[in-house]
Amino acid sequence: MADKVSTIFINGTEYPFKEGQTVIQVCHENGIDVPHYCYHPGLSIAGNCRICMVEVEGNPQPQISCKMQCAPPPWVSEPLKIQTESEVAEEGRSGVMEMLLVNHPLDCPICDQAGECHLQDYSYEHGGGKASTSTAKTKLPKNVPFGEKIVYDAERCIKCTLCVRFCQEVTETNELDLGGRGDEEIVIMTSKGEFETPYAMNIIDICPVGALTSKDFRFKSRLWFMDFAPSIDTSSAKGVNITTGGREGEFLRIEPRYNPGVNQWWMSDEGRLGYKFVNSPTRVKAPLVRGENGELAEALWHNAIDAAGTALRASPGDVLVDGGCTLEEMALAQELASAMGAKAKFAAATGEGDDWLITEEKGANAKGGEMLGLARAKRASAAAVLMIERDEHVNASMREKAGAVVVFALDMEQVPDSAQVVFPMPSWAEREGLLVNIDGLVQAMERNQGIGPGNLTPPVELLEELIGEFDDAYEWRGREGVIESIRAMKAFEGVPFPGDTATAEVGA
Amino acid sequence: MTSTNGAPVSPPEAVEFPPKEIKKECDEIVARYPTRMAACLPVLHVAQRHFGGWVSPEVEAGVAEYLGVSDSHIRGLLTFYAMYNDKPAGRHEVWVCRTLTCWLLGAEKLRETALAKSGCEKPGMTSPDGKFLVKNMECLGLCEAAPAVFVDGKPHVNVSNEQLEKLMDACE
Repeated sequence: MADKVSTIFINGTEYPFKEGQTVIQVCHENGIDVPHYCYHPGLSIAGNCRICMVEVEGNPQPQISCKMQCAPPPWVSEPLKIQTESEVAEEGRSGVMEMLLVNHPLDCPICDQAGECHLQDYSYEHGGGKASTSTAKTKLPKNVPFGEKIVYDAERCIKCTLCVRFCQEVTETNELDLGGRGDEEIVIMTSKGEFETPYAMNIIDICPVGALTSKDFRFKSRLWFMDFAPSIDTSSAKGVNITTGGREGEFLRIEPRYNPGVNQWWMSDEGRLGYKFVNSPTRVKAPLVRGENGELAEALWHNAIDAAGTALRASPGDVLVDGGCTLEEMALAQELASAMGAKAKFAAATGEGDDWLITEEKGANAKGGEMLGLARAKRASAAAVLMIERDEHVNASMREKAGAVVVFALDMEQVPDSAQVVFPMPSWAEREGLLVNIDGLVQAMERNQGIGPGNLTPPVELLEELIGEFDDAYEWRGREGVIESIRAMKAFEGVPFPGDTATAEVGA
Repeated sequence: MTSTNGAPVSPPEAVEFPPKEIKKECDEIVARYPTRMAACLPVLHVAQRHFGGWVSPEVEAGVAEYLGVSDSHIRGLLTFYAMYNDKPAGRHEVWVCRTLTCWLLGAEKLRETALAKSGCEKPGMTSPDGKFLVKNMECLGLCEAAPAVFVDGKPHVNVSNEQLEKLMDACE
């Protein structure tokens, strides 16, 4: 018996494949673009959109690559030869595109998906631009609410069933199904009218067209005007990888980013909508110093730093940081505290969790704080310096009881009466830094230039300035230097950091 | 569930299913299959027969509960398969074929006649007097004698408009 075939020729090049792999998977692994709507690597294969057609040499008709095994039939001893760009394949795709657009409203000018719509992209790449039919388009339900956060448009829908399969296979809550048939087929929802799963909004991301849109993001902005940056979800401690999206200072949306080791393709609705506080109209936008009249007034950065040094020398004490502060900020908070002869602590809320992406621990870097040796603050805890990002971590009573003189605050509402100097705290989307998730994985987040008031000095630099106020011999290390000193700590021995070759995949 | 114009509809109260008259029959059907989900179609036929020729949202929810599937799955089946009614049925059912052969040989005219005669607004709806339900049906398997219609489950072939009108006149 001949040896098992373990390679496949794609466009003339031989590639190895693992048992059970389908053609589209090998293509994508090797950077060969094959269009797809209904295929998703995290869900079962439906094979209903037909756009992923490729030519198989020897077959008269193109075949769908998502469902086609790389292994040839057992009686064939030669590897399969696939063409992804040939005339047969292209003809098949353009025919599929024509059929998909027969009843599609083509309302791209008012559609939120425009710019990230597979239907647009593939129509441009593979569409013929002509229609063979002249019948009127079917009228189907539009603006149908799927729960409180999602809107469904049946006319735009191509019935790929990704959303249905997500609810069946990933969350196993079965809220969605297909109803009707033929050109009147639509996605329907269970009569409860609300999703049981706290992960429902993922169906908006996986929808390849504009059929499912987010009520939160609808009609807010065109994608091509927005800035995007890779970041980490800080609403819980799982370290879900996200992409932040903002425009001209306004935080507009969060989408999950693929990380096989943490969240795969998904994120919770809570994390996705947990950015509203960043857009508060009462953000602290400049350093403030309490004047002789007892009022907080805007000051220049260096004056504010001088004032903070004076205030801290007069009443030194502990440093209490938000559980969502980065590793670098926590390490510097610790150094500042020891320069004052005190201790650094972190405050982090706990809440309800599940066994997946929502953790009971809510402090995004609580694990990092513990590894650095910071104590977890109790409810009432005195401190000279406060760093506040999220209300739930450093809550109102904690803020007032701490009696802090130097406060890093995101919002004016968070500033306690005791504050002598207030520094603006950028939100997590506006800072770069490292977070340690609950499983001990160190991940990096980057700054999104399109979010926040801008021109805010990073807290890392301010903390270094404050340490310099106490220690004349202190040498500036910058963020990189701080990371180096963290890596030299015993608790971080052997812990891979982003950028290390071993973790090249993580956070990519 | 949401209505077609997008307004939310409060979830229906599930009826107790199966009622005692058809309990034995339903349990026997379920016992025939390896999973409860597999019994959906035959149980729905029994439910439709018992509850006056149609499956209301309340019955739908009851069946879903009985078979341990989501009610959207039952709704999907009801709206996919042409022989289930998800709206109140008329006293008489007229099925007009909508597949190729009949369509080529004048089923479209028959459909118009049936709608006009019954007063139904469109296929799938019951006439205001509750007498007729006119439905589109996929291939009735009578292509050799198209166009074909079924009136109350009885096939009629090579039907002309006049014949269809007579057939409908004969209905009480």
